[in-house]
Amino acid sequence: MISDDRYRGALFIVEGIDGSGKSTQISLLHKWLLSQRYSVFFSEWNSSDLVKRTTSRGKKKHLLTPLTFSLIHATDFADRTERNIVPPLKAGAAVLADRYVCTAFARDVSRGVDPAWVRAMYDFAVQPTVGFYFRVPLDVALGRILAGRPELKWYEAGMDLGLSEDPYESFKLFQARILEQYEKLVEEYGLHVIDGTLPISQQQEQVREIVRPYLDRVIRRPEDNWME
Amino acid sequence: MKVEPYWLRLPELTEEYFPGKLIVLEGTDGVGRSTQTRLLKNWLESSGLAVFDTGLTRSQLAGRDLNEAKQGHTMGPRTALLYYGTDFADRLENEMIPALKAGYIVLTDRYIFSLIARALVRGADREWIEKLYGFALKPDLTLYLKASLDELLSRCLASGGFDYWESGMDYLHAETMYDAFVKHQTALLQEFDHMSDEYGFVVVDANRGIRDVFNSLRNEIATVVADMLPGEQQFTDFVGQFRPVEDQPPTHKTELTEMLRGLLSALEEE
Repeated sequence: MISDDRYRGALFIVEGIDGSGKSTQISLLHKWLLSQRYSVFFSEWNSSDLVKRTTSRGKKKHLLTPLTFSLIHATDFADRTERNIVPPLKAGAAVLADRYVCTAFARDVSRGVDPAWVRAMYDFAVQPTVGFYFRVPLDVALGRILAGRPELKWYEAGMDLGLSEDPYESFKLFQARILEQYEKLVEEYGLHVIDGTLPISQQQEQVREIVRPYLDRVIRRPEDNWME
Repeated sequence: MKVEPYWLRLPELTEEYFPGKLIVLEGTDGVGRSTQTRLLKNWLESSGLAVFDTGLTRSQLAGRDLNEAKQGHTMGPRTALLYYGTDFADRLENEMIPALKAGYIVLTDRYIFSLIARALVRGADREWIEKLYGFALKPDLTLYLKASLDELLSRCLASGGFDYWESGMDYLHAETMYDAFVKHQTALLQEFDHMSDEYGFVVVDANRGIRDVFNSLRNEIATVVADMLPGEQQFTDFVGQFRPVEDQPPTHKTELTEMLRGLLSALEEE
């Protein structure tokens, strides 16, 4: 990975399985940084406009194999890196990413993609200043996601792997595989583990504490006089 | 063909051999690959051999979007490379491999080599790109249509002038598209020369007329596919029209069909 020392800003990312509470935490961090007048840039997984139509066609028509699923997400990630991650970092902003390379590693390897190949592909990613991993037991995460009996999408449920005919059963088995992969990645990528079963505010307190020492690198907007 | 990837064997590839053969036509822009592909396909099919032809940006998954993304001129070099990789992987897994399994001759207008060359001239790391395309299968034959810069220039002018990407305008700072084209194509030719040894290209002089180039290609291909000929069958001489593809008048019917197809699938996606 490309070292973040090359850039003025700071890159904070969150990882974890669906239902781990990571998106809640990063959006709270986002609000807090804005309230402190830091320049913040937010980049979400799988959000590049350039490749959106391909991804949605592939998902809707079930055209994706593990290999093309992996490649199209890497394309999306490359576009966001070239557009939304590196330029703001160079400018000195705090860049927040909801999911980062470990999401690809965990999902793609769970689908049977070669771990060395997918890591080599993402070699161009900027090393996060801080990476968080929200750890929750599988049944807690499943409970949060499945409580409302949501309609699970084909790839989200891992239906392409043929683990089960039932989308809910398939989702559970797939999430278990992903969780197993994540646990291996925590050490490999030096992720800060946050206990995702703690109260939300307590988790946020820990997140802020870990992020704080890196904030002197981040540029701040001038005081808005009218707010005084 | 022997099923041999460059680096990474896809899990679905359990076979050691496929009955089909993979033949690649490579070369820089405007060197006459599509014309030759058409002639070769006619010739092989009339000799009783089934041919599946493919080429860049023709995948069901990403082909059209990739062409549209190119129109926008806002795609970064690494993004473009991965997008082309997606297109290539989709065609490899869903078209080329099934065709090879079924005993077809897969004739592909460009393979990974053009993609590698394009990435390298834009400063990509050689090891990264070779690993990325490490799942590609080694072809039975890679024919490199090599033309001089002067020849490429005259063909480029004859077929409507300079193209943004073919001139490397996305990464070069040049006074005019002509200057960019010269720089870009010179760099590409150098990369092709490097790859020629590494990947064992058969170099075919493409500075000649269509018929001469075709004869050279045919001789090379004949040796590779001779064992596939049915029974006592010999190769025919049939090639169809010699007129280059780009000189043919556009058929409005195809254009209309393409347009409607595009419209329909756009509507469907909305």
